[in-house]
Amino acid sequence: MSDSLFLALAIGIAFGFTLERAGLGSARKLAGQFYLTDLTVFKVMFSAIVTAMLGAFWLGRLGVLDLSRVYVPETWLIPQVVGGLVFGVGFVIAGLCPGTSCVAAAAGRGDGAAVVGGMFAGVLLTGFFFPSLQSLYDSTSRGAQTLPQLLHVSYGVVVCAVVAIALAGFRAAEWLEKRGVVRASGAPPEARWKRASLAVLAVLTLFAGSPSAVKLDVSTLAAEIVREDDHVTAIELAQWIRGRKAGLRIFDLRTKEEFDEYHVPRAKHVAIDALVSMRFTPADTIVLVSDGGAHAAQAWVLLRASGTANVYFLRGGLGEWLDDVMNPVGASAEVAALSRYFGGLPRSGDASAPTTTANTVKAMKRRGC
Amino acid sequence: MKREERPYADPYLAGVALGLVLLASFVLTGRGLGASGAFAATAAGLTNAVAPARAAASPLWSRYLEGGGPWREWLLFELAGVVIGGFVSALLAGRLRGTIERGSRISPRARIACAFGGGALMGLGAILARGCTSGLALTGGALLAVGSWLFIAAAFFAAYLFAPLVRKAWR
Repeated sequence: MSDSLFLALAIGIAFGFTLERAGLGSARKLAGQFYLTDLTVFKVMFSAIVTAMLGAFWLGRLGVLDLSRVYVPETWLIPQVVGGLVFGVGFVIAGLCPGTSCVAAAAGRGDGAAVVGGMFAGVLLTGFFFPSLQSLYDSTSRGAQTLPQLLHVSYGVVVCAVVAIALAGFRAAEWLEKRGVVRASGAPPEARWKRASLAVLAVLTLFAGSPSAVKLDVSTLAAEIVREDDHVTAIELAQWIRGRKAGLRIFDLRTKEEFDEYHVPRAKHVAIDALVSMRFTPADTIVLVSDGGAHAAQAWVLLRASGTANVYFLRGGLGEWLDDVMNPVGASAEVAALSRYFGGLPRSGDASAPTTTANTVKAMKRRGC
Repeated sequence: MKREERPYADPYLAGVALGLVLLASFVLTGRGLGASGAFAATAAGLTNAVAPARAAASPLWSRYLEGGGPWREWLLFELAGVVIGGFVSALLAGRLRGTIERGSRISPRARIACAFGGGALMGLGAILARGCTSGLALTGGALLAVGSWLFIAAAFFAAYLFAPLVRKAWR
């Protein structure tokens, strides 16, 4: 078992252990949330969100955690609202959610095992009928959009607001319990100072602004450019593609029309503004392609400045690809073989009569950047 | 050996602990927690075993066939951990016992049917929303993802709206 899968198991064990400790393996306890007889779900969930949110913010601020490297769930407006509604109905009927049903089953509860089975049947059936759901599933994508981006306010402001809402929610929950409307869960809130410290931390985020400790280090980037660590040649890129280099992701920054007409194999079309909000992992190797090299080089600076590693741009753009890989003249046997792999037309010696493909290529190159 | 059943932990304390587990996952692995993805990976793996062409053609399952394949999926190991962790915690707290938890006015058989049906609905919902209470609500909530907060709002809204209709099951 690899390190990453071992880590997955370890984190899962801690996750399952905490859920069980909190009582979230009990269906009646969870269902109590929806009849306002037991507010454990709300308290646990929002304490967890607030803790992880504040922790991620401050670890990011201190430079321990690079938040731009953490995978943020993507936003798909309509599918997530519709999915959420269906999920909510299923939740109150089942009394358990997917994660907690596994805990319930592990603790010996037959109803937990039934939810696990039902969940699996639901997933399989959805896969079966997926073609009729796909247009809904693929609609209204917003990428990895976050609330600060949506509301055009700083990250710290949103963190602070979420903490304030959670604290107000906890207070309301205890008020309901004190009035006897709801059975009290857990100890009474005797430790006021805990709340106060949470509030102080939250107010500080208000002024801290961004959770990123990364500043654009111009000299580092300049050194990379001098070392020519910033780009790849078309031949290198072709070798990477043919060699199925692990984690290789090629992004074509030209217009969709130009992309549809021709693109480097395995390239995906993306606009620069969408590219900079994408999330990458350290295992990714990113190659940027534009018509000339300019757009790709600009995008390189943006990605490197936001802390993404292993970014390269295709030095001479698509033109270099077409010249050196698809239509090399007088190339070595090795390059000629590479060219043929991609369906190119390597020619020996001086340029003979241009072929039809070469003409198309020239026409495309004339359009410029 | 019969242990006395211990009371559950304070919900705020448990919540903070859960948040720290989530935070550790962010720092150590660059991703959060999850559950429904493991179900999807299993579905992809089984479909692939029975009808490989079908699995490869499905936009839903094909992504799990890349890399190490569905049986090496990160979330599958994480969820296996959840089962182990839940078991150990229940064992240590004396809460491990074979039972069907239900309201007093509902038969065990009806409770199992509800659990299965509710589970199936959650399966559909989690696929559409691309996540569940763990991967989408908890993880994305802490990372301020727009879709996560939409999902939380929609799921709680629907659950509160529908709750009176199934009140009998939980009395």
